[in-house]
Amino acid sequence: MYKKEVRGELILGNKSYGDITRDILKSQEEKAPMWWWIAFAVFFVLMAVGLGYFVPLTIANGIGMWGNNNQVPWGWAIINFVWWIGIGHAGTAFSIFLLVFRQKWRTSINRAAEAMTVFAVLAAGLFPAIHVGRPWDEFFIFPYGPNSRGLWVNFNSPLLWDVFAIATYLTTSAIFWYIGMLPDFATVRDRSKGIKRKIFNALSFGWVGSMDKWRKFEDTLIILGGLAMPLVIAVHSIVSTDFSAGILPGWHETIFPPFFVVGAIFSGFSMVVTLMVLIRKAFKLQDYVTDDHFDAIARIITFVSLIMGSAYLIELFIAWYSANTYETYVFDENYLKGHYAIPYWLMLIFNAFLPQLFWFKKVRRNLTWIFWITIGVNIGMWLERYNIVVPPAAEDFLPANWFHYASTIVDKWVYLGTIGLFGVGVLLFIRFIPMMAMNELKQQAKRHTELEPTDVQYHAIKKLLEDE
Amino acid sequence: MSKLVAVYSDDRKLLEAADQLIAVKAPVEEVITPFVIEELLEKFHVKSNIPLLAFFYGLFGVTSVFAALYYTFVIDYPLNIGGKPNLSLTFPVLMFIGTVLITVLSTVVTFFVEAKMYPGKEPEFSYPGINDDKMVILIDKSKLTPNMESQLRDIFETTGAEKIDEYHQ
Repeated sequence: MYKKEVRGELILGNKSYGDITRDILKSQEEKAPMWWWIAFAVFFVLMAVGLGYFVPLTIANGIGMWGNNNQVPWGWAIINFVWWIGIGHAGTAFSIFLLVFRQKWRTSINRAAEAMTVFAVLAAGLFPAIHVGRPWDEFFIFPYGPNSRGLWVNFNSPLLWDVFAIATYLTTSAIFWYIGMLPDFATVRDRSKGIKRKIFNALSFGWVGSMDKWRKFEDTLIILGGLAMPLVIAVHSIVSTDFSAGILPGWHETIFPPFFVVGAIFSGFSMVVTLMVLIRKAFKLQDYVTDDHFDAIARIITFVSLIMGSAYLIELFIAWYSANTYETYVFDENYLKGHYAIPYWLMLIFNAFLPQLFWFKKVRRNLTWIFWITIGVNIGMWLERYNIVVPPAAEDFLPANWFHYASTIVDKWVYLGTIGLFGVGVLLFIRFIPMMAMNELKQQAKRHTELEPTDVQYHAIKKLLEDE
Repeated sequence: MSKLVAVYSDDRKLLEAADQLIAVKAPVEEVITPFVIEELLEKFHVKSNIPLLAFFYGLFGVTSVFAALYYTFVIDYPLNIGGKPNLSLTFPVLMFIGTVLITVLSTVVTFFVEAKMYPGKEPEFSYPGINDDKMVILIDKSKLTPNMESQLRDIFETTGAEKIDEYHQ
């Protein structure tokens, strides 16, 4: 149950239902501001160069264009893949976990978080697709029958589970996002004319907020949410199994599935916060995304950061406690004081230490602090994936084989290309789709006024008092 | 078909009207709101069969994915992977994911079919503000008994309806 005295007001400024519609749709009914065009141009260029030039270049010449080598066969591609998938868990973490747990403060942020999920998972999916080297053979992954080749795909392989898990996650997230938008598309439809009305009429599927439709809508959303919640745990556990099923010291760890899931939620929450700070500033939405919202999210980030810090400590402890030469080498020689000490310590600072500043109320309610700490977490989580992927493989059992990894310009541009894709997606979203769930905000506004008497009650009470 | 339309902009007034309409057994055809009002759905006992159907879709999903895995790995093409059993403990992973996928897709299709919604469909009823800040109660006039219309108009007026209108389809 939502307690206003604990969490604070969800929507400030005593908004009427009409105010909510106008405020949220302002970003798409008014002309796009200059900053939007500049940001769009920057991200579009990144996307065009990264995905339009460097991805075809990789496909044409093979993954020899990347920094991967025999010793480190997975480089930036898998780092970026896991990083984007982690960010993609924002939608589930925010929208679905909080929906299922009936946390009403999700309302202002869930739509943007779901949008981010879809774009982040799209960006993530690109990496394994091009990392196979011959994307035109990808249909072999799908079990369409053994007739042409005489055998089935290997259903025992975590890499194959990944294909199904991520495809299912993308499908479920996109459907959850879309269904949730139907009533808001109808609102836009009713306020539009001409071609815009036609488009939103098609998108809204003829939505009318009748009782029967609302019942079905609510039931469908909660079922999709309930199914997606364990799915998010499965998806990232499976991603972690890609590593922990390997025998490399530093990868072969049973802690990986929960560690990856928590890490994903950590980075997802942080990316949502980073973008919500920007959106709130840009569109002056401080009545809807209040300091109390950031306070609540910052508390969760602090808690998750403590879990991450504990996981890092457990890894170190187990490496020491195992007395295994190879395991100890990875953690003691490689991470703490060796070749990879800088990314390891930066990861600890960004993920485990810096978010502890959120213990201070002043920091939790200061947008500048929140913005930079969450940016730090995003960098820290990228470094964490780097530390997992590269060092254990670069220096494994045989020192004669050791070979270090250096990314190439192609690696960097493909990554920038996916950042461009994500940025373009988010910018188009805030320009053309209601960026907050208006129907849910109105429900919240209703809760605000629940304790005030209606006119009929007011007159009845007044009459009663007069009679007395 | 002619309908009596009562327009509200306050959900508490709407709920009071709903109580009184239920008390006089008025032939309420529909109540349209810009957001879900759970109390209203409870008052009118609006139920859906989607949760039950989703459960059956889940059952179908889990059995069909298991059957597919069993067929490919045990019957059609049993591989000897280091002597491990063909009926493997790894099955539940894909069974879970496959079940989620099948249940999600089937539930969504059911939602659209039951709600009779499809891309490009024109809304069945439209009235200014019903997806913005107005809530309307629709009464099918053909089902009204002779004196009932005035009784209902009284209810709408006393509960603070913003407007009482007629709608012809």
